[in-house]
Amino acid sequence: MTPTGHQGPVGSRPASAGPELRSWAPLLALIVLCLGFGLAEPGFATVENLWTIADRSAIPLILAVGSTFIILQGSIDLSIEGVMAVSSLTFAMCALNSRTGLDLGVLGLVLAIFAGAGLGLLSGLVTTCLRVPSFMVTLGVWSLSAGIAMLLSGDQPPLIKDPMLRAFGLGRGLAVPNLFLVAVTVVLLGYALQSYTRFGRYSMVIGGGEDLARLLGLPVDRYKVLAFAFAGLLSGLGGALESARIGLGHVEVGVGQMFATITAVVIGGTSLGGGRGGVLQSVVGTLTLAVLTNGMIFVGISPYAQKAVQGALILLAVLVTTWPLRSRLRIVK
Amino acid sequence: MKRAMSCPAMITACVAVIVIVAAPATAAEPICDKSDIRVVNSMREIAQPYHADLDKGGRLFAAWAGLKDYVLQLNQGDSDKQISLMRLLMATNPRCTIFNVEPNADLVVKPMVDAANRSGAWIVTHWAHNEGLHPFDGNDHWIAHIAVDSLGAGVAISRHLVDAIGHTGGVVALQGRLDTDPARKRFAGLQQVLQNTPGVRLLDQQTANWDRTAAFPIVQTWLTKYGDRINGVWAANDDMALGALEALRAAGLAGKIPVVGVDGIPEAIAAVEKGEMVATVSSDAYYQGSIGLAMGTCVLTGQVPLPASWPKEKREFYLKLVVITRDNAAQYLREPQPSAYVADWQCDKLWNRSTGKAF
Amino acid sequence: MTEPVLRVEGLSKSFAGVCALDDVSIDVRPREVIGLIGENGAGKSTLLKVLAGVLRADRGRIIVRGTPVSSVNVAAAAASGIGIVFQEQAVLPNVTVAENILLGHERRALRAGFYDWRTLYALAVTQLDKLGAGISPSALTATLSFGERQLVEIARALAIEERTRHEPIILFDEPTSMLDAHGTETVLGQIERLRLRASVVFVSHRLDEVLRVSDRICVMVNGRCVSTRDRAMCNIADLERVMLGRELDAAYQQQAPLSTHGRKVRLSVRALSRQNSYQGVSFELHAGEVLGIAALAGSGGESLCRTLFGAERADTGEIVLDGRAVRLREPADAVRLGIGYVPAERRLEGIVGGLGVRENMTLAHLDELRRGPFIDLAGEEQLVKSWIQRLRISTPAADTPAHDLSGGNQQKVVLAKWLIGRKLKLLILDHPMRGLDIGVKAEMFALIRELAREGLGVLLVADTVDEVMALSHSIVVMKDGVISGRFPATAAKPSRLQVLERMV
Repeated sequence: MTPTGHQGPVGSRPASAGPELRSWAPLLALIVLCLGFGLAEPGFATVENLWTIADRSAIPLILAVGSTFIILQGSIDLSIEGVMAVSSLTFAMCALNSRTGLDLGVLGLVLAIFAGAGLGLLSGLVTTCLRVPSFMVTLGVWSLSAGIAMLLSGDQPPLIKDPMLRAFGLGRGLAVPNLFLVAVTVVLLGYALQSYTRFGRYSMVIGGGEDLARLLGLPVDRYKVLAFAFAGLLSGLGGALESARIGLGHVEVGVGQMFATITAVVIGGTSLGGGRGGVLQSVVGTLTLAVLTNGMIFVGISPYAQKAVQGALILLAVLVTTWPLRSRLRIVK
Repeated sequence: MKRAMSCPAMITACVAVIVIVAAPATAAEPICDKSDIRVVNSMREIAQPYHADLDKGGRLFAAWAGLKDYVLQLNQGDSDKQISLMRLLMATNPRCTIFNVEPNADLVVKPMVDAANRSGAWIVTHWAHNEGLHPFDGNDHWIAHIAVDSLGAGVAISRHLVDAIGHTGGVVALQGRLDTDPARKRFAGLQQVLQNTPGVRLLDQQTANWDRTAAFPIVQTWLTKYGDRINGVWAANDDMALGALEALRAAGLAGKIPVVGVDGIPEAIAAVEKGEMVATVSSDAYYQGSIGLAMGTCVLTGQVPLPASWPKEKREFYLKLVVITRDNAAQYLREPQPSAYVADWQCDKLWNRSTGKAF
Repeated sequence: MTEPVLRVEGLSKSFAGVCALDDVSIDVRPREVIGLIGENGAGKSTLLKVLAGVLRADRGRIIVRGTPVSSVNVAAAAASGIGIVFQEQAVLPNVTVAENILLGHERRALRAGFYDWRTLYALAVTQLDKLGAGISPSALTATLSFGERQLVEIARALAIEERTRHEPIILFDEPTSMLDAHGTETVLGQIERLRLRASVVFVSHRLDEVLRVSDRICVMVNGRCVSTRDRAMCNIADLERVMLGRELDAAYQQQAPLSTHGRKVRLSVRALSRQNSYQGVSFELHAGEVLGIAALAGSGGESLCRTLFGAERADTGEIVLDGRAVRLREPADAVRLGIGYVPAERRLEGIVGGLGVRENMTLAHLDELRRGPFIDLAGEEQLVKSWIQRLRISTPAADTPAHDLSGGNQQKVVLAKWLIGRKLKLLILDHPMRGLDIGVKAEMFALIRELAREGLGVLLVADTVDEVMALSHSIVVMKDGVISGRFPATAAKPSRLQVLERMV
């Protein structure tokens, strides 16, 4: 019997700062931002503003959860805006609206989510079966979806007239914005999937070593398709909810969300190369962006300067997050 | 014995015959056969109601005038694309092609006009163009520029806004894309009115890039920051105004805080009628989408002389704007009939809605 | 005569016209350990990969317990009871140890599709206990050392035991070549233990290890299994002869002592320290001298080498090259000063796999082949050809991708890369003989001696006493980051025991 108790070769652990420190940096950045804005403008640090930020970040949170799994696997989803457009129109046209005679209420929401999932499924299948990089496939699906949405919208976007749906989109349940409650549910679901299901764990595996995973016979393609379908589903949910909020099916409902989502996921600490990060990290990143935008308005930064400030702060956040890794021999692409 | 006509009489008769025969020749000759005429509407996109109406107006005109070849060009906000799409059509039958253009950006007008001059195609532009550039400066194929008095529009809605809040209080402003002329001019209109109304303060201004989805969270944040110090909301276009309205609705303030916008889209007119918006301004998208084509058709069919011979104020003029408030909202809610515009399309009535020179 | 649990019949496989397996037939009986030996490129790794489902054979049959199997992938092979532990590490760094061990087979730890982590950890611990490894199942694999990751991979192969109702067949592709003495002991002990309920095919370069644990030994030469004998009928010399087909000259093992009198000091290291790696290291290396650093893995030897090449920075201390103090901020500085480095993990750090042999060789010294902004292609070709000849690198063409070469030939390419530079002053070799077979080792020994004779300074780090003693003129022993013993060239040669006791 071999002697137990010996832990293996001595002194062989990597000497650099542990991964723990690096993963706290985005959260620290968020806290610093909040403190900074709160000190600069007391009105920022109120409960009312807390809910405003929560409301503003609801849809981005939902989108970020979907993108997290895709990015963990080492792929990317550029079709978010197009999918949101399709689901927005589907939802609006199925609910009580100014264009069609339907009044399907919540069923419209379900159909919109299905539409999103279907588009995501398309992305996933083309990527895996035809072996086209996700970058290109989702770019194509974005165009396709935007086109479909424009056809659906025609020249008269459908206005949503269902009072219950509008009230849900705009209202609060016990002081907490409804959409934020939905977002929290999605985040919890995402976290559970990531930590406790094969979908989540295999997404990590695929991101950490897809070749090895395939070699060992894991059904990699299946999980890739699942990730895209899931992201499409959440994009669909996001588009529909945003429509409930602003009151119409709108082709431009998702404008700017793709860049914002990917930025949020990255500054939260999920690496674009895959295999590192997670849902909670993306939440931190999304909240950081929401706090940033909201805070800039509070502090009164001129709209002409906001984009520049936002870009600078994002660079800073990325720098801080990756500073401990700056050993000169690290490959950076 | 009877004498023949006197010499002077004969000469006069000859001259008269010649004049009568030649007269039609001095009037403009038709440059193109009606069946060859191609009319083109070039605009940013079709998703907004404003643009949808531009397109509708163009189609209505083409149908009324009996023109089979109507083309719609969308550039999705890409200036290069707008020009290259136009050049594409200029390559075939440019002499009989009329472009009615909503320029994506002011600077894009010069290359467009150059291309038209070179190829012999015809162009009518709207809204705004490069500084120092004018149709009457030898740009013979640039039929006309129909300017919109964005400053006037801005002033008009701002006046209604400060009136609605009783000349005292605080307002917030949602600007359009900061690098476009309408955005700048409309905001200048607001600033002008505010200067003359000392009781009203501009609390804050942000850009929502013409987009309602972007306007919503901004207004939401403002409501949190300023609370009831906000008495009115100014928006540079209706889409943003409607986004602001939804944010107000979420806070239970729809209809309680006056909102103004620009464009005159049906949703906004409905809101004005309901009392949730106070005013909006319409340049009448149907008109804008058709008048350029009408002008061009009149030139090509020879019913008006070539633009080079027109007086300057007919080549560059301001379009009459309509301010829509609760008083007149009802009449603008109805879907416009072609009959309402036919009068303006007549070749002798082309300048019906001109309010004067724009240079 | 017991029915063989695994029978291979007429297996053949070629890569781009080069025959790797040539009609191989071999039997594995139940509860037996077969040792597979052969020179680099003989086909041992290829055979294992075909058996494990990584590669598909062109011809032949694999029969497990009387039933032919076609292992289309690793999972299928595992389902028929064949598991493999790879030579190059095949674990995922970003998930936990338990997940690596049970990858693809978590079903027993799933409740309604959800992970029951406690069960998963318990299942993992079951495998780890077989190895006596005290690794925590919840640890992130990236935080483990090389040896620990190896153990995790072995545990993954062992997990087949629980899944198949029959005794598994476990293939080991050079599991000990990257391990230190203790790690090797563990693995060998585990193989012996496995024999009680499995069959093992074990590939290694170290003939003594193979002789220790195997029941039968199969010698592969040029893709064929030329000889299968019982262990009792073998000794090392025999085996070497079969492998090489010729008598080995033992004389290469001994070095003539070196006089440092009058030789200039090539490299002088003074009080070099780096936190968590090594402290207060000082020594001198003369031109024409081979200095061997005997150090177990983790004793600071490898880190020291990387520092001297500029890949890591020392916290304090001085490095003096040819009398001038130098600051090495990055490897490019070292290359410019004439220092070359042959790393331990050549596949990761020594060659660029996708590039051809030619490009790999000229990589570090393209400057010298320049004519204006262009590379002198004709000159390059000449140079590369001469080096392929000189080092006897076996490659189909100068453009063959480097990752297609066998380990030993890759090592030669790496060496050539540095030797090509005309102003090489110091060559640092990090475990140069790791993973090489006897024949190539002999060539390496000769080469290094020759380089030293030409005036080059050679610094090498190795963890086997034989290697260090055979090659070096002077020896420095490191343990736990400090120098624990010195045997200068001028003094009497130490005994193996003397060196060993200062290492451990």
